Amino acid sequence: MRIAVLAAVLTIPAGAQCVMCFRTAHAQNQARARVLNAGILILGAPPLVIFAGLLALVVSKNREW
Amino acid sequence: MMKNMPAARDVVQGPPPPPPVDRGWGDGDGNDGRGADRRASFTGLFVLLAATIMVFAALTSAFIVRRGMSDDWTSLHKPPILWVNTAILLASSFLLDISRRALKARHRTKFNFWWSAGTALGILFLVGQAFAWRQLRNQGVFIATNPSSSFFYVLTAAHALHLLGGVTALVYVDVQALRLRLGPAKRTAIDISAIYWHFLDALWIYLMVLMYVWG
Amino acid sequence: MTLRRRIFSTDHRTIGKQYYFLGLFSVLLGVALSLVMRYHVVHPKALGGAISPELYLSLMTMHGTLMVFFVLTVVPQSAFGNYFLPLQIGAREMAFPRLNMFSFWTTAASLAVLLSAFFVEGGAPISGWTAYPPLSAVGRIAGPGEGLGQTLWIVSIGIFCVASVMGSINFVATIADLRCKGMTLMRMPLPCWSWLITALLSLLAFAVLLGAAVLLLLDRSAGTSFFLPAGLYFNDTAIQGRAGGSPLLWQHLFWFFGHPEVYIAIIPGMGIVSHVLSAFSRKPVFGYRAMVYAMVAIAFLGFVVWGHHMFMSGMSPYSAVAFSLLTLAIGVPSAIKTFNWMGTMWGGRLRFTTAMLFAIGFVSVFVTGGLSGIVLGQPALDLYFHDTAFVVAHFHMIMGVAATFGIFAGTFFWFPRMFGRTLNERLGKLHFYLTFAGVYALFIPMHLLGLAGTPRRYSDFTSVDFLGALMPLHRFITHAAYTVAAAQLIFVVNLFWSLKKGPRAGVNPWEATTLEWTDAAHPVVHHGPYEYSSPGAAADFTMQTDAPNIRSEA
Repeated sequence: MRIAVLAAVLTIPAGAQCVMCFRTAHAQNQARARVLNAGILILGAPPLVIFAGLLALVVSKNREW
Repeated sequence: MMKNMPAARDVVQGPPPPPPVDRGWGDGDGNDGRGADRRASFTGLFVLLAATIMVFAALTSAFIVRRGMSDDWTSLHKPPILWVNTAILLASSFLLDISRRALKARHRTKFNFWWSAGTALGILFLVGQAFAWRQLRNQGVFIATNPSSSFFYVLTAAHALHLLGGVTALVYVDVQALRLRLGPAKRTAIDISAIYWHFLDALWIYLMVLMYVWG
Repeated sequence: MTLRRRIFSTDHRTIGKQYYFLGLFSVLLGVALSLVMRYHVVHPKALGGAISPELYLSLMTMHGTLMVFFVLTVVPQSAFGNYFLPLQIGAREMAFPRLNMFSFWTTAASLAVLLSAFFVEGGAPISGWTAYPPLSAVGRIAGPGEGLGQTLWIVSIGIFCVASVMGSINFVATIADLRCKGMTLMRMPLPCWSWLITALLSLLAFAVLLGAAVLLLLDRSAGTSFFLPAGLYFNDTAIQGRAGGSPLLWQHLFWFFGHPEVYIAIIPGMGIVSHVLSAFSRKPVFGYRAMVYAMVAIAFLGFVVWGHHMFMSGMSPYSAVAFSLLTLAIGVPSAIKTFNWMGTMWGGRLRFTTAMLFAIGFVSVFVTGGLSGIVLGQPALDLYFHDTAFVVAHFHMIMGVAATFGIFAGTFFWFPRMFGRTLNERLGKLHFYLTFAGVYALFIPMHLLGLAGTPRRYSDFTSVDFLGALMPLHRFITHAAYTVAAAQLIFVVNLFWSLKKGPRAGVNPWEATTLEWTDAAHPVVHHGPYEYSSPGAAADFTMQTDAPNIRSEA
């Protein structure tokens, strides 16, 4: 069934940008995808907060003499 | 156009401003007095804490991804001594806080006593961690045994390494205190060390949660 | 002063110079490695095939590592920053001078460990500056250089991370707390802003790299499987006892560091260019505040685009779209900066000193390199371009050229302040024109090579038909590379000759406005950093320390 779906998908010229990516996305275990996304967020969110926080710290020391 | 311009100028200032009044806790102004050192030390500490948080964020991300991307993660049986160590670490923080309050109330002797006690408990924590590792090894659980054990060793070792730096700072203050060398400039060292220590406390709690809930 | 106190000096100016010469040494070594590589590509069978594919890869690895870490991370930030940050904000010293000294010597130790990889059995590692596992994680069996060489590489990088964090602590604390009276943040010269933002980037990025490096080291030496999946075969030998790890995990961790790293390499250059363009256009920086906010935006966004290095790793197309949109979004603040540089020059009374030429050249090559980045930031196009020479052309244009132009602009501008003499302008201009023409000749054809499908990290194209047909282009590029390298000798000669014999410079030879061009011990600032050609002022520049007038802004 999957092969049929894939074959059908493959005949669409303007489908997903990349056949391999499309295949991977569909075949991907949902749970694993969620884990990777969680890992990305855990890595990506703290620096934004910290960067903003440290910048705020520096700006807080801006004095009008 | 260019020939009409005056030569490069030196800035004439007059006598330098008088040094700021040293009120001991760093309320001075400008970049001459101890105020700047104190403020800069705090900023430096926060920057260091930011870096440390990022190291453990990276390790946490690796932890979560490694745990979820394969099927070989088995939950690690953690040595119960970890709870004792946690209590010791929290107690050491508490004692450091008592000592700081004693110093504010000008009880130097009390400060010395409680600070030394806190430092000793901190060292005891590290000893306890070594015991935990030995217990694991005796059970045949090594760093490569299982991904969960790998992360246990990596996280606890990383924390212990940072704590070692903290212990160094605590011991430095202790030595200065016992030699009765705690002038105003050292107050900053006390505050910085204590805050760093409390941070390591919080980090340890976080690691305990991570390891017990997901590990 | 004793030799020991000189070597382990805590003076920010000495440390700045030490970093500068460490960077200079590294770039000369890096260029030499690249020349060997370029020669080999054109003459693969030279010296009886003495350069094996593995040796080529090890040269490539060391070239990349040296250039990215020890040139582009060190010189714009640590060399110029340590020297000029305290001067520009009117501080007497960096916040933690002894920590500063430790930072430098830790960096030097890191370089020493890296270079030792050349001399151990097996030589330098072959996994590229990106050190992807499994190749980098299984040890000697993966190839020459993957034994002790790779371990030394990882240790070197780990040491570098620690040095970086120490440096960042110093920079942030100095800017936060040691600004002199009147030096509000919005009166800081733009290089100071760039050093602040870069220090924050550096702090967070290198922390993650340190974690990743430790895990990689454990995979190599402690039997763990953070990055190693099961079923690996190297040279017909099965790798036993490893399972469950994910090479993808390394890629995420590494590129999380790797993308901010390239902004660490370029942002100080942007600050320097703004600074120099303003001085030699006799005009304030156009849109100073926008320049600040743009740098902040670039840094901020720079944390969340690392996936664009991994479009071909099999990620979900939805993740790819997210990373792509954010990547293209960085083009906006970058474009704002570019327009503002042009706005700074527009209508100015331009003084075409060598520093100015390099600053203008920076704008040109930054746009060129940035445009190919826009192409690569789209997954549909990256599908084709990933791992081709197009990528190599892109990052060389933006890092190898633009960031380096920033360094040259800073060198020519600040040399009088650092050494009390001026560099020779004639030699400088000759160096500039040869380099500027040469790098375009070098790297534009490389885009074409990529378009034609030339893969990167290959040492020999002659055995593949459609690649062998491109050899004339390779030869052209190699000739251009040698010409550009030769042109750099002009700079080196100029530098060392002027150190001893250059004409002596006054305190403010460029008639610039900022504090590094004064000798005030306790400066008090009443003006913004770029008050050039103020209507009604006595001269076409107003120093920051000049007496206040009704026109000086808050």
